[in-house]
This record gives sequence, structure tokens and C-alpha cells, in this order.
Amino acid sequence: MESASLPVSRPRSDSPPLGSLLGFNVVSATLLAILAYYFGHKIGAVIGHHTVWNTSSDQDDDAVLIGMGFAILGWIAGLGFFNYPIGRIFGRPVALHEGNEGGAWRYLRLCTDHKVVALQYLVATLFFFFIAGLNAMFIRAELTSVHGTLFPAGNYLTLVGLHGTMMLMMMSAGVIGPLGNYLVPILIGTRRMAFPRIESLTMWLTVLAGFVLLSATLLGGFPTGWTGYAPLADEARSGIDAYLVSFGLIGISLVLVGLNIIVTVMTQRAPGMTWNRLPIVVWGFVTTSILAVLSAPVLAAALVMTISDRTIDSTLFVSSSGGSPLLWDELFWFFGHPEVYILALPGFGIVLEILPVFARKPLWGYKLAISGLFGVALMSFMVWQHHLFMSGINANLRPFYMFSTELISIPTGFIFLNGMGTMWRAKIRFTVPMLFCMAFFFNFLFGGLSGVFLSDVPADTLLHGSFFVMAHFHYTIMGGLVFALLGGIYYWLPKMTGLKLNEALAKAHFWTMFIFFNLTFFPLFVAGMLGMPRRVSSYNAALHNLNVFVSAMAFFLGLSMLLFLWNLVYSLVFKREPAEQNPWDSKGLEWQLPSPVPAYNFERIPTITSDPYGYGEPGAVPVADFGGVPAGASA
Amino acid sequence: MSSTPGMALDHEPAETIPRNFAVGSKVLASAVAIFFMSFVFAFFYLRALNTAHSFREPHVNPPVGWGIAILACVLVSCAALEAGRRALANGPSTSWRVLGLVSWLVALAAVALQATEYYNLHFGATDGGLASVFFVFTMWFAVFWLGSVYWVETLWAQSLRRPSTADAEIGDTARLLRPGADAALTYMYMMGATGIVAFVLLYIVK
Repeated sequence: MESASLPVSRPRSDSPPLGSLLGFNVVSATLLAILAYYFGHKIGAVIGHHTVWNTSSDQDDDAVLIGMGFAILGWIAGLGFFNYPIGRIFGRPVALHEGNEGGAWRYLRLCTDHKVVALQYLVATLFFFFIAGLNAMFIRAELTSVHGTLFPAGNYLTLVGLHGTMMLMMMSAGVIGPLGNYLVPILIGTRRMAFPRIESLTMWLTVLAGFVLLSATLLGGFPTGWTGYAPLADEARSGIDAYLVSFGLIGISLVLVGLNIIVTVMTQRAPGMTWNRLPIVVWGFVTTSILAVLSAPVLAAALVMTISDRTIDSTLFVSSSGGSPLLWDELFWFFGHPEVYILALPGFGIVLEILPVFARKPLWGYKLAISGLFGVALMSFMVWQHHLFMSGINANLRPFYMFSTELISIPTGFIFLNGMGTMWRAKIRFTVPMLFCMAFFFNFLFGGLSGVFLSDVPADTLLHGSFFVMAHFHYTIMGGLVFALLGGIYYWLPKMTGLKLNEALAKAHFWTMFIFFNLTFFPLFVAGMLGMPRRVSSYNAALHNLNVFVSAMAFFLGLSMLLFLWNLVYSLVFKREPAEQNPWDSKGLEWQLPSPVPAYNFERIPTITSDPYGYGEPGAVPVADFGGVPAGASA
Repeated sequence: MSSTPGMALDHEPAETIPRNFAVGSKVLASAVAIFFMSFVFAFFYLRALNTAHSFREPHVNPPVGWGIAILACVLVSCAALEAGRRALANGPSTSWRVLGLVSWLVALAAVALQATEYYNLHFGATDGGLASVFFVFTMWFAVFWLGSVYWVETLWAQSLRRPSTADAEIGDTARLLRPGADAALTYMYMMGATGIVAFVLLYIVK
């Protein structure tokens, strides 16, 4: 078969043309969003002034929220996302590609190349990750004194809220965004995501969400933490509007990312890519996507209910007028607990994908791993009431949710079995990605076991709202997900950028991060046991030395992340040493392509002939047949 | 995907985009349905709690006539698009264009009726649990229904154009009209079902 001409996009220039500044890009989007906010705020102020419903509020929520609505529209319009939909109103035919040309300029605007979107995601989420990490440093600085002297109590609460919300928001998008969007099409043997414009839109909504959340500091902050509990959220100052809008944007983004990945995997797998050959990391992204599509709409609904309470004075969360604050708790945690697994499941997939490569053994228990991923996903919808043990739920419901929470450790245990089975009697290569994966299992074990402990009603009653809970979820989310994500970044970044990362710096980063992570968070189990409460900047003087120690370790942990940042800048900006095509000697489909992967991924759609885990198996067939055309021949 | 071992394809299979529409519309409809199920949950939750005996204030009586009119528009719009989709079997015909236009206009009328209803109510969002659920449910139903309005219009507008090629990967885009209508209908049927649930809960059960 002759190779047909493909609409391959090639970079024309690495420097942005000056004229492009006037076009649809992030510069125009920012200006338009600011202008739109101004006009929206004015309109909202007029509406708020002339309506009768703002009887209980003396704030300008109408103005702020309408301003933010306008700003969202301005942002999207400035990036050019309305051009195609408006064209469709006038009968413009369906088209798949947009903005794929222009060299480096592609990274600052709507682009339908999934690899560009993935790198945009990576930069954006790391940016906000570091801001959220900086907030953590401020929090620890405040806790070096018993009564908190750096920030007023309200500002401290805002810091805690910003840290928690931004970490949750950015980590939700931080794995599935960069790695999901980059890897899924390549690993299933296709050239694009199912809906490329939606893919790009989710990225730019995530960026906007981050900035909107930061704007809370200009609007008086918010006192609710990341959980946004009613009635506090109904009564808080306008900063909470930023929380509501930003979390809403992330909810929309999550649903659309999930939709895109589900559809792509269901409809665009290459010939021969049967469900049994699907790489385990793709299964991780699929289960995460299912969770996102099923849970994020509930968050969105809860958020619009709060917005409704704050603007048109509905009483959904007002118990004196036919509502109930517990309604928020129910809806929020129906999303909130699966959200934890939206963070964890891609991490499971990443570590199980990387382990066989460096253990040089096939993945142990492939189908068990899939059942573990689905088991966790399914059960995550049956446990949310354990967050309400102390909120006055019917006592008869407690045992069910206690047991369902304990049961979720079984499918999670499957993942551990897969990892241990793969590493059993293996000749392990201790590369940096492998070190991060091994640390994942070590850390997640502490997080998981303390979670089982906390799920018991008596233990939860005692430790609710304490630093023990805080240590538990940092062990699962940072010790688990963030370590897995970093392992994934070290593993796939040479493929994504075509450039090597400095190994000495990477190893220094790993060891400092691993040591100081444990020295920071393990003592917090003790602090929690001794009664140290969360979200309060003053504490018992007997805990002072412990807190000073933890803060010092946290600062070193922060410094270790600067090593990572320096490695990225040094290796990708200054040194720029080209990466080999397959530096890890992996059998994965992505490693059969040049680094970086060419614009159209595959010259011809490959036929998949095997799963990618045939390490150490004599006579194992290659993962794909490229039809006689070398992969990326036209690159 | 069907495949022959060893065979390589230059282009993605022609059925990929219609399949994307089909699966994507189902996933989207599911997500939107879950969004509205949250309001259904809120209705039953607040009704069961009836805090301060204020779930339903005596004067909160959503007018059934308006509810019927809005729901009728939603269902007629779905039916017209369904009939239009069948007429698309032989390509964009006159009957498709008429039925598509009817579907679009009636869908638009549903939104207009909803907006008008708000001006004719004798209660506001502050009047207890039912009133709050009523406003938030109907308001967001109208917003999501606007998605149907847009979707039907784009299909109709596309059918007025000559078949044209926008992308080398797609080829003739006219063949995507029927899968597009199928996908729009999946979403609209879900919205229709949601509309029925909303009508029963907010106007009948209360």
C-alpha cells in the first residue's frame, strides 16, 4: 500500500513571529480575560444592586461571579476556542486539526497535537505545584512557633486552603494531563486523541483554574480549606467565589479529559491492540477517566448549588430555611473520595508499567492488576460516608462504611502483589525511575495501613481533624502519587523532549526527597496521636520541638524539589544533550519511535503483535509490526 | 477493531469518527445525567429532612401549565430530530432540513418559555428547600438544553452546505451528518428523560 500524504504539521520557526502576538494566544487571552472581568464585574454590580434577592449578603458576589464568568469566556475566546464552534454555526465542516504549526509558538495557544498539549500540561501543573509547595513552606514556617506569629489566623486558613485546593486540583490534572494525553494515543497505536480541541481546552481551563484560585488572595481569602464546607462557604467573603469557580473549572476539565481518554481507547486502538494487550498504564488512565466522568459532575453540581446560595439567596445549605449543610458534605465527599483515587490510580499504572522494564521480568499478574484497578475504582464510590463519621450520620450506617473502607484495601493489595511479584528474584536496575517506583510502594504502605486504621470508627473518632489524618493522606498522595509521577517524568521525559536529564542530579533529588519526605511526615503521625489539630496555627507548647523538627525537615524537602527544578532547567535549557531512542531498553511501543516522537506519531498505523512485557522470555515477539516502514521514517 | 495480522493502514479507518461521536455522546450524556442526579438527590434529601418545616412553603406552587409547555417543547424537539435523522438515511433531503429546523426552533422555544416562567412565578429562590431546588434544577436544565439547541443548529447548518472536505483525514464530511444526528439525539434523549424527572418532582410530587 502506498503511503498517502498526511496532514503532517511541522514546526516552521522556533521564534514566535511578532504579528502572532495579535492573534489567538495566551497573551490575547490574558488581556481579554482581564478586560472581560472588568466589564462583567460592572454588569454584575448593576444586577446585584437592582435585585431584591441579596437581602442577607452585603457582599458583591454577583459582581465577582459574573466578572469571573466573563473572564472565562474572554480567556477561551482569546485562545481561539470559539472560532471553530462559531464556524460550525455557519455550517463549517468537521475538522480535526488546528494550530499545529508554528514551532515554539504552538505551546502558547490552542494546539491539537496531543504531544504539545501534554507538554503544556506538564509546565502548567508543575508551575502551580511549586506555588502550592511554597504555601506549604509558609504553613510550616508559621508552625515553628506555638502561637503563630507570621500570619493572622484568617490568612493562615487561606494558606492552608490554597495549598490543599491547588495540590488537589493540580495533581488531579497533573498526571492524567501530561502523561495521559501524551501516552494514550502512542501506546494504543493511534495518531491523535478522539477530540483534539477538547483536549486542548481542558489544558487551558486547568491553567485558568490555577490563576482564578490564586485570585482568592485578592478577594479576602477563604476560610474553608479544600473541602469548602457549608454553611461556612455560604457566609465567607468573596474569596470563596474564586474557590468555587476554580474548582468548577477543574471539574469540567476532569470530565472532558476522562471522556476523551475513554473514547480514544475504545475506538482508536490499532489493529491487534486487544484489551489483553493494553499497557497497564493505559488501564490506569482508563479507570481514572471512568472515576472522573462519574464523580466530577457531582462536584460541579454541589459548587453551582453554593454559587446559587451566594447569589440568588437560595437556601440549599441553610438549615433554618429548608436546606441542610449536610447536603454539601454528602455531595462533596461523593466526589471527594473517588478524587483520592483519581490521584492514585494513574500512579498505580505508572509504577506497574515501569517496574518490568527495570526488573527485566514480565509484569506479574496483568489481569490481577486490572481487576485491582477496577476494584478500587468501583469501591471508591462506596466509602464516602467515612468522612462523615463525626458529622452526625445515623450511627447504624457507620459499620457498613467502616467495612467498605477496610475492604478497599484488598484491590489496593492486588497492586502491591503485582509489584512484589514482578520484583521477586529480579535483577533490578536501580535507575532513577525505578527508585521512585520502589519508594512509591514503601510510602504507600504507610499511607494505606494508616488508612485502614483510620477507617475504624473508634480510631476515627479519636483522630478526626488531627495531624494523624494529615500525615495519612500526605503519605498516600505525596508519598504515592507524587513519587509515581516523578518516576514517570524521569522515565518518559527523554521521549517527550528528546533530551536527557542529568542522572547525578536526579539521584540527588530522589534520595533527598525520599529521606526528607519521611522525616517530615512520619513525625506528624506522632503529633496527631498527641492531639495536634489541623487548620489551627496555635498548638500545645509540649509539641513545639516536634513541630520545629518537622518544619526543618519540610524546608529540606522543599530544597530537594529545587534540585528537580534545577535538573529540568539545566538539562532541557542549557545542556540539551540528545536522548537515545530507547535508553531503558524497553519493549514499550513508545520506545520504538524516535525521540522526540514525530508530529504524526506513526508513518503507518502499526499492527500490534504482543503485549509490551515480554522481558526475559526467549522468543518473545516485537510489540508491533510497523508494516516495513521504520517508525517515524518521515520525521 | 477488525484487523488482518501484518497489515498496516495509512489512514485511520473511516468508521473511527462516527464511532467517536457515538461513544463520546454516550459518555457525555452519562456525565450530564449524573450532574442532574445530584439535584434529584438534593430534592429527596431536603424533602426527607424538611428542616425547620420549610422544605415546601405553602405558597410555593410551581405552575403546572408552564411545566407542561416546557417539557412538551423538549420532547417535540427530540421527536422532530428523530424523524429528521431517519430522513437523513438518503443524505440531506428537504424533509431533513424542515424537521431539523423545527427541532431547533422548538428547542429554542423551550429555553424562552423557561425564562418567561421565572417572571411569572409567585415565589423566589429564598422560599425554602423546594423553591431552591426548583430554581437551581430548572436553571441548569435550561443551560444544558442550550447545548442541544447549538448542536441541532450546527447539524442543520452543515446540511445546507455542499459536501466539502475540511481535513485530509476525514475526506467527505457529509457522511458525518447522520452520526452527528445520532450523537445529538443520544444527548437530547437524556435531556428529555431528565426533563420528565424534573417535571414530576418539581411540579407534581413537590
